[in-house]
Amino acid sequence: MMTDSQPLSTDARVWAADLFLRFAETVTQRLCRRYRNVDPDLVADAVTEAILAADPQTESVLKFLYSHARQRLRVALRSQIRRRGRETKYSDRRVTDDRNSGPSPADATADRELAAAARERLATTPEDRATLNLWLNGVSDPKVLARQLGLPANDTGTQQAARLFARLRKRIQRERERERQQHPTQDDVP
Amino acid sequence: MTGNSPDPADTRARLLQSVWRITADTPDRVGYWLQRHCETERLTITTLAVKLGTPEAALAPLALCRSPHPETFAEDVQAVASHCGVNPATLANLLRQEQTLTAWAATTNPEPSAQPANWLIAAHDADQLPPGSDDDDPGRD
Repeated sequence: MMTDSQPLSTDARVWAADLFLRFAETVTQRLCRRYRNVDPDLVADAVTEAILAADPQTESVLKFLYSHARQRLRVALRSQIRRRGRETKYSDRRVTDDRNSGPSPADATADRELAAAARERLATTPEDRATLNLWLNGVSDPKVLARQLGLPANDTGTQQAARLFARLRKRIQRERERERQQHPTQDDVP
Repeated sequence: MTGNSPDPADTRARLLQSVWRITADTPDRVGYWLQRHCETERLTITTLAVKLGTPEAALAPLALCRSPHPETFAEDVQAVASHCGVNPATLANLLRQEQTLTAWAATTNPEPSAQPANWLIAAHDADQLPPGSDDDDPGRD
């Protein structure tokens, strides 16, 4: 290890090695004390870059290393802050917050009203409404539907339930066609 | 870190890593060739230090030294080795090997690529041959 009393080499081949041995630790520790919350690896990189930038003609080596490393550190910190800012900006913004991707309260209300109107057109009787509700809750077997609706537990009840399902399907199909004619989507355009 | 001052051992370790990171992209520094050698020979920093007969901490100043110029190779290696306390013959061999490999790779594959040269793959495959196979015959030329 070199001591402060030894003169620095003027040999360009080993100049950086001398600077490292003599000043790297001192400059790093000074910068770490000044920039307490900064990543120590950023500080170390700034000091290494300063050492590589120095040349044997530099008059006040310690001063040069400190000011150059500090400058490099500031550049690194500024770019780190900008990068974090960009990351925060994009991570905080949810896709559904965008006006284009999420429905507004007015749109949501309109959708609910349209759904209620469609429901009334699909199910006009209490029996139809019960069938629709059960279907929307996953009941698709006529036997189960018959039991849930209190229909006779025989073939007649099952056939009656199957007819209720068939009627509902036809109405839903008609409702879809009507909706398609009124509001054609891109898929509907030939 | 202890109190207001950073831990000196931690500072030294970070500085070594930093020198290693930064010189990895600068062929005009010895560190570039040391790291290429570690990749070629699958060495760690510790085993490289052992090979060069120097403490691990001495690799940082060595890595920062200028790479020897082809026309004054022997003289430059001697200066760097004696300044950093490493064996000049070992350092010269290491630098020559890596520079030759780089030059060879450049002639066989003009476009820089992360893929190893074909002959390196072939050499690696030869190492994987099971014992007793023809290529493993010690009596063979």
